[in-house]
Amino acid sequence: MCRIDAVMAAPNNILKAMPYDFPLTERPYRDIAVERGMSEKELIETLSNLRTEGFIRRIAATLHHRRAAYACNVMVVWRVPEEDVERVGRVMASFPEVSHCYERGRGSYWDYNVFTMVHGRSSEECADTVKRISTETGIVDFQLFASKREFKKTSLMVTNG
Amino acid sequence: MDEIDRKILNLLQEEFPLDPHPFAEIGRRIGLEEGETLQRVKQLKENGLIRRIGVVIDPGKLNYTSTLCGVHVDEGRLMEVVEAVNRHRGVTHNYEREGDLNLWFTVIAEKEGDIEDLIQGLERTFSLKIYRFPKKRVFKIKTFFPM
Repeated sequence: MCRIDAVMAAPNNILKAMPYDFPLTERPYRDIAVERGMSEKELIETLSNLRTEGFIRRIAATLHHRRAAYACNVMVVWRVPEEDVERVGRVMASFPEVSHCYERGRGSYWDYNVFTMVHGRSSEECADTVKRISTETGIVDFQLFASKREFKKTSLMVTNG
Repeated sequence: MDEIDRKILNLLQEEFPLDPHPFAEIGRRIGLEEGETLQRVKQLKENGLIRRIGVVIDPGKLNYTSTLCGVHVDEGRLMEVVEAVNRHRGVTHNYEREGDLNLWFTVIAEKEGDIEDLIQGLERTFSLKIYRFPKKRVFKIKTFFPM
């Protein structure tokens, strides 16, 4: 592992040097820092700055949602009039059951332009959430695509080359 | 998993403290010693409930672009295509879903051209028509499962 100069390094390079999965020790930041030739204090300050600047969304745990009893995940695509996307997007995002909400291109495939991921403990729970979203936004043209199998789920890793 | 584990999972999903003693800090919030908190987190990791604890990056801020892809793949060739898709580092999610487009994956890269190269490569290799649904506006990215 290369040494990192916390002052000089670009955000990319610092993030490149962060482990994907933190060591589970009493002092994880110290252990990460030592390996990279930094002090614990330097590392914590650097990460704190990157978080303030928005390069880091958060430092947190990611769960295996299926094992955590959230068996159902549904992609829902919505047809939302262009001028209404901003309002509808915000309302959809306010639902705790919605983890992702994007406006996307239609892909020359269909007319749906807003995509949400909805999670629940069962497909009934997911369907109920979708119904509530529809009622609250007034968007009635939508389709659900339940997930059958998860083949890959990772987060972006900034890596060398 | 008991009530304390649930509390730990909820706290950890929100934030892993940026503190020299993060487990002491979590423990403080729920009335546990540092050692026991760490032990419980280790157990939750071993049991597979916790996927990872780490930094969640904002790809947009680092000038990465991403596209969601949907494709119809015949059942008999599904695993073959899945393996080829997953081999790419830029593919972060890949799910089989109900519907005519039965395979959905996201591709992320620093250059728009790299995403196209990857998709076109897959289209050629497997004679597939892959539909691209590029990101236009982000309203929310936050996975939180209340435990």
